[in-house]
Amino acid sequence: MAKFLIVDDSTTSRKMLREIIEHELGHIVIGEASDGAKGVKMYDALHPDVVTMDITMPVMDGIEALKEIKELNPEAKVIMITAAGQAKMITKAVDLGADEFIAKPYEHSSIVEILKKLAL
Amino acid sequence: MFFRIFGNYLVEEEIITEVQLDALMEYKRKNHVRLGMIAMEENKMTPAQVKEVSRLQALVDKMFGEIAVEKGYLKKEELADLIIQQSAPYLLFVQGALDTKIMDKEEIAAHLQTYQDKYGWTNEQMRIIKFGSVDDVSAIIVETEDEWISDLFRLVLRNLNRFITNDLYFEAPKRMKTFSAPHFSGQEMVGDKNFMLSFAGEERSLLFIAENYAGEKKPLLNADSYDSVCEFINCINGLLARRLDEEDIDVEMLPPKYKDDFTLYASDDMYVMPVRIENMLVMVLASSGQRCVLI
Ligand SMILES: [Mg+2]
Repeated sequence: MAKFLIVDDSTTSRKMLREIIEHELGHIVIGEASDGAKGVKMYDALHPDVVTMDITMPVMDGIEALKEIKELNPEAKVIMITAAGQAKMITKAVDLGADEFIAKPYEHSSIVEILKKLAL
Repeated sequence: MFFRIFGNYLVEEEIITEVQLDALMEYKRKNHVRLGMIAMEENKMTPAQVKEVSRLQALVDKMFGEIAVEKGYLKKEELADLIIQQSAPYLLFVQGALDTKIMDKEEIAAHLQTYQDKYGWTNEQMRIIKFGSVDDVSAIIVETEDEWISDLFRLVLRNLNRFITNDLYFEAPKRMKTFSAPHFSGQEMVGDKNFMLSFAGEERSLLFIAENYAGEKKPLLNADSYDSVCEFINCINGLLARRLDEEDIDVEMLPPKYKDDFTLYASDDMYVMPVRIENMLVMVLASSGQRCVLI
């Protein structure tokens, strides 16, 4: 059972992800953060196995948060889950060490598959 | 789409009542097109042959198509073709109007002709309206001077159809300078080009979007419900951002916003598209160019 941290400014999006992670995959969500800065702090405090990271967020966006988390722990597993799937953004996230990239709006089955693969 | 497009026209022209249209929509939810109906519509079988096959169908445990082929009324290829057409909304409308005795075939044909004349649709456009998907219909109804804005509106309709409801009706977008509404939820994208996409309207229509997107009941249009509408808009804008990216147009998506009792001012024109989702009105606002001011 893997421990997840969800970073997303949308409560709706966090709820949907939590539902999939806990009820379909049987993992646990140990924290939720509504912006990148809170996400980095929670990562440092909770040491989750996997982070799901939105990109468009107030205060600190997901790219910056990804960078800071990888500085804290280069081995951190971070999945970018976002609507803003521009090529440049993906390249930047991959360069910074993002492990997976999922585009919103996602198909339920595809997200289940990717999360399964990463949380094992 | 066809049920709402033609149905709303018939109500507007006072040919049928709202109650009759509701009955047709209910019919649509519960029925599918019978093969015999399409076979007659396509002049592949006579009404007498359809009656005979239907009667036999009640006696033996066989499908309508199977019996019709055995009897030599339909060829196998013809049957395959008719099965494909079974999903055509126009045919279901005709069957529904006949079954509920709202109109007969001649009346439907006559009203369709006046509808076509009123809007000046070509025969090809009429074929799309009668048999097409939301994507097909939006390609002919949604037109603006900015192809990106048209794209954005079409993405809105495709995703409303995919995530919210397939009972959709929409009209051509119109240009406006300002727009006021009791509730608003929207998002800007800024960069090489600036965009704004918003949903505005009454509480119940925004709540309907929130509930169906989030997949849970929402009694009030509060921060949580607005968040669901915002996230839905965020996803649609993301799809446009990816298309813009393919053309090397760089935009950054800003966090979405919501507001009660607002007025939106666009220094360049914005477009407003009325959309009915299960007959509840939502105004979809989109602009490009200068940024908008929300007061
Ligand atoms: Mg976000």
